[in-house]
Amino acid sequence: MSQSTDTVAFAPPPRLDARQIGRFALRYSLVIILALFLVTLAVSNRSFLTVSNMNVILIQVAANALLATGATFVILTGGIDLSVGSIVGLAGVSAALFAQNDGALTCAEAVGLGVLSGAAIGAFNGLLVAFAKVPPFVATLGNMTVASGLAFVFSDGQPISGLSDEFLALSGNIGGVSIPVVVMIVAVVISWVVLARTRFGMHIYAVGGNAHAARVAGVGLRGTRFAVYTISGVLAGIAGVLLAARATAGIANTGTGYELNAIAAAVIGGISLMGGRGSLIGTIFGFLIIGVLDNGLNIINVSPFYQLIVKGLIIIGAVFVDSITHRTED
Amino acid sequence: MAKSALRTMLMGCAAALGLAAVAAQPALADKAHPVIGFTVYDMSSFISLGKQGAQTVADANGAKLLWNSAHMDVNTQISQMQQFINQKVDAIVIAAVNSSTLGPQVEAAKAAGIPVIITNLTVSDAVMKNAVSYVGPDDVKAGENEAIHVMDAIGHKGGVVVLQGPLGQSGEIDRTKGIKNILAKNPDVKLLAIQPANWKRTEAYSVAQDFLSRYGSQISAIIPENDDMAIGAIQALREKGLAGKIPVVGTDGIKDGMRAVNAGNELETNLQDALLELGMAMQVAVDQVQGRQVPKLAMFIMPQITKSNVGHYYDQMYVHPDKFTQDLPALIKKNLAAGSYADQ
Repeated sequence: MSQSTDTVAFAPPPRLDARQIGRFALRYSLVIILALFLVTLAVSNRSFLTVSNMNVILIQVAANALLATGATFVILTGGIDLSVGSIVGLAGVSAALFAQNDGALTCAEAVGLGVLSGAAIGAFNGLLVAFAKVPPFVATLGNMTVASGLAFVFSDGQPISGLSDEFLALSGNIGGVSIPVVVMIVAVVISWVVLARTRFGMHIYAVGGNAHAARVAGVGLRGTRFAVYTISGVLAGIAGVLLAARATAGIANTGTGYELNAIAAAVIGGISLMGGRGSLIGTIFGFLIIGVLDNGLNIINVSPFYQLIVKGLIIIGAVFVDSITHRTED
Repeated sequence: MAKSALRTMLMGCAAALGLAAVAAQPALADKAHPVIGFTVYDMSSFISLGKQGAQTVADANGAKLLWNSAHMDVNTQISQMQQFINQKVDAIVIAAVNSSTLGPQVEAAKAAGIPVIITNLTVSDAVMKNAVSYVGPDDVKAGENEAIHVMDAIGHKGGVVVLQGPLGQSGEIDRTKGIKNILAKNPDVKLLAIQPANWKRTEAYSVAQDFLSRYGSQISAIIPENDDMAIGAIQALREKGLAGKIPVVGTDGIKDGMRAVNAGNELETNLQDALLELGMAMQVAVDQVQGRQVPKLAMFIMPQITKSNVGHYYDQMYVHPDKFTQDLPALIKKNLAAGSYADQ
């Protein structure tokens, strides 16, 4: 400390340099942490940095990527969606019920019904939050239980298996790339365009940044809020269908706790829980960091107990760094 | 100042991650030092204890244990399977989250020349057909043992209530089946009620209280499917001054269960030893990799523990656990050779 004070007194320019480097390091701390972790893993373990393992990581993050993208829409408006984990189970069960070998519906119809069940819960969330003015935490917490209950009712608590080959092929490859990964990329790209390049995207930021100012400026608060919860529900529905194909069964309690992983990815990526601030690009880094951690900590054989601690500290660290950066910029 | 502290912190963090990574050994070892991937449904108290057994046996064989927990999530377990296959481990041991989901991954492991061993919970035939071996408890027998001891104690007549594990889990399904097998042979015993209490003490306590209010003196015995629920039921009986008067049985042989047996409040329990079970799954995996013969089905017929023999098992497992762990690899080899897997 005293040394740096001396440097300040007699030679200001190097200090500015250090400061700039520091600010750069802070702003890109996420990318730096991810890169450092990747490098150490690659150096220490031959099986980590291989094409097949990178593919495994992408397949593993696909579901959380969809949920985290939905969470980004919702959190940007200053809301929260706790129901997505249960929607995953409900959508999986709904699709599986109609995708059984002897089913009357086609595979596409079964997938559509699965996604539709997610959209329905999402729209119900939207109605409650936007029109009935129920706080988002309460509305989506309630629907988390409702969706989970519906999934248990539809499946009678049993795994719905015996699914058609066509449906199971959803976890396979298309042109050498895994279908869930393709779906993830398409969904993320569309969402980025919507958020960053459309009027609706601007409205989302406006509602989360300052709802009063947004309304004065003519932004439809209700419509915007209703839409983001529905989008979150649809994305969770897609994730649920893909996961059912992967597990070869629709299981009601699949997805328990996924909402927290999705919110964590968005928050690690710098989406402010207060709403109105953050970018989907950050969320992408968020879910990639979580995916690489899950995969990497297992590959280097870290005990499951310590993995929980590491992941928690990373979330806290990311948000801490974010708040520091914005404090210095204010 | 805050920033320089932060920088130091970040660097420390990176260094720690780096150290952790460097300390880990690369996978892909030779057959003399096989790498065994273990994926378990969750770090329950049973599995956490079993991990020590697996590690002990791994060390004794010069094998390396890669341990993953799926935290009760089907898809996490699928990912972990894919990772193990990708890492080219020498064998995989699975304690499955769900009995019917790992079909494609077990098949992929087989295709990659990686033998799969199933442990602790059974899996569906579609999954089992590509696995090498099952090392786990005979839960039907455990349920039968519980019911037989109860029938003898109540003179084969009266009314009983059953507290089940979570519906749909293989432990619950098989123990319920065993209990019903024996009830079917005892027409003078009436099954008053059967309800899940999800392996939990508090839930069993409430359910038992409700049953005691509803059926009162019609209840001649309580049959919980594990020790934790037995202890909850005994607590409910104690409040009515009935502990030790109405027979209660259990399974697992946890510390409190054995104490209740010793105190005369629990009539009988069936010992399921996590150290021995997961340790043996590890040994079977190593044996398979090294080309030794392994049993297709290593069924653990759980030892029956009553007041007359509880001292031996309590002493072995809870008074001198270090010695038991030390002797574990030798015991496992002996049991595998003899085909009586659960002896201890």
